[in-house]
Amino acid sequence: MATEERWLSRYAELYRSIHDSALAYLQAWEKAQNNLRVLEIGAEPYVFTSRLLEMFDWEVECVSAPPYIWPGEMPEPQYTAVRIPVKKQMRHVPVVLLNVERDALPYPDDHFDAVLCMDVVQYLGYHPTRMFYEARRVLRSGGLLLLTMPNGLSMRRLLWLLGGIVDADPFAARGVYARRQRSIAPQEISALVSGCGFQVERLEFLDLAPLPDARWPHFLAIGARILTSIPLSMLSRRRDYIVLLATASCPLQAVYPAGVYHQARLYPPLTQHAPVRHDSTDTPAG
Amino acid sequence: MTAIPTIPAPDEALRFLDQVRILEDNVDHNIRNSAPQELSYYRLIHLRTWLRVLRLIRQAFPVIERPLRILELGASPYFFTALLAHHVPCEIVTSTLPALTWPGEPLTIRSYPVVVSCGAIRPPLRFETWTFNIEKDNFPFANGSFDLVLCMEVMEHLTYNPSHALAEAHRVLYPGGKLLVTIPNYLRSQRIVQVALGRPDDFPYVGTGIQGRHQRELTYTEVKLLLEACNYHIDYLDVEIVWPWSPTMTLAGRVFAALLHGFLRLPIAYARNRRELIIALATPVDEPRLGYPPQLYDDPMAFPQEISLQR
Repeated sequence: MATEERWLSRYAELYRSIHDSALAYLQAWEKAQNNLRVLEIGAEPYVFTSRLLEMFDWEVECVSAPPYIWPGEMPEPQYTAVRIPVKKQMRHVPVVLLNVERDALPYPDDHFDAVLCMDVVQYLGYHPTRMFYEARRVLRSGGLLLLTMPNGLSMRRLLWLLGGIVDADPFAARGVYARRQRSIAPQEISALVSGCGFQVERLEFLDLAPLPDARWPHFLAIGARILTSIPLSMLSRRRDYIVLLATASCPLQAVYPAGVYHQARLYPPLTQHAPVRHDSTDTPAG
Repeated sequence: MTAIPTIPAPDEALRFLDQVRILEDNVDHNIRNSAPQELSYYRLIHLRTWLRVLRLIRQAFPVIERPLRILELGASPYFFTALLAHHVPCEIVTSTLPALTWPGEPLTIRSYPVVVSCGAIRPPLRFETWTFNIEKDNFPFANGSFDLVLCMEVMEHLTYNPSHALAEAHRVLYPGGKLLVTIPNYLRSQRIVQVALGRPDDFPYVGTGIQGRHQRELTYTEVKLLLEACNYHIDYLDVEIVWPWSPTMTLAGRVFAALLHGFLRLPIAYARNRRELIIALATPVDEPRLGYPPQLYDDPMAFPQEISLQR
């Protein structure tokens, strides 16, 4: 249990500035709208969910991948819930455990006002279009999509590659989906998101990635931050994180951009119909 | 025994490969046959690698008194299998992962007969291919069944536990047998140039499944650590330049590539570590071992620790 707590506090520490900046964008977006329904994809370990509930009076639902399991052994979507302490009260948040690359989201069309997808895309290795298509489907027209992810073309990564430092993740004991599977370039994520029926409103490049402990990676990362703080677009585009805000304002469709996908003809057709939702979202886990 | 054929020149090898057709294979026949252009491109980019590996095998086994027993992992679409069968006296068994398999999806571990035609004047080549997941399942072969295990451009497709594949290869190798690994170098100059130019550098998403794309390419140092952790003695390890240039490259691109290759061929570690393809030849020593170097596994103790001493 102690290791789990250490891991959680380390996780919260690593993602603190990313979460801070996402919350700032969401505050600007909220503009005193009330009773918003929000879906967080890839919510486990619920650190951001907890901060979200602290800050906003929203109805939040979560989707996560079950850990310590092979993607090929994941069962059908499982309906569960987590209890999160918020302002000295226990909040009950419904969670669906599923694989966003395989399963449709179990919600009706136009159900949510916002979909948050914080540091998820880089962990997918097969079919991100399925996730964006489904996110667009469950969003109401004009709803918000918020994405954060590392910039695959960052100055930090370039300096590391030149210096012989491998930025790819090691194999992860928590399973295939606990490892970053792909470095994504800004133009790739724009093409994916706008191709699936979103209008990209803002594509921001920020320095948010945590500094590593090892000496050379640390120094090179600081060097990269100094270089990318120069106000030239060719350099500021090389900051280490991407924050993307898009609105669901174009018709729903699925796109497989050439270069991002290979052998796209083999992908299963995406159905527009969500599976019927079981009536068990109020039952806590266990 | 008849004379061992000489290793062909690239043109001759390409003419041979042009005649290679899969006549029977019940695993992924339809998916492959629907993409003849992809297959022809695949053949072109791997040609020099295959010839290089043939030469290494002949060096590793200078005297071949009986046909070598060879296991080729991830062999589909069987071009190299055909080359091998016609240039090294051997009995080949292969493995393949069916397309559209999710990592860890339970597979029926069984063999399928494969028949490959290699031109009108040669008899068709017949061998068995087994379907199993090399990073999860026990290999369906007895201890010490093979003189050579080939793991050519397979490890970079693994998602979770390449050490399992290395430990199982160790187990099925005969004492003194050899493991041959080829894998793209993560730190290759092409990747660095793409990132510097602001172009996407990572392998695309592939319709054949998560394992259809390169999940984790390794570096020279990582290959060395991984092989040694799994109880292999390294006989040969280098990073080589084996890929053809794109025919659509501009003149400026060609000049730049020629200068870059001149630098990469220098006998210094920095240049070597940025070449294209890592080639390793190793001999199993002691017992098979599931070694997890901490550089490559985030929590080594949480991965499977026991090797089944089966069959």
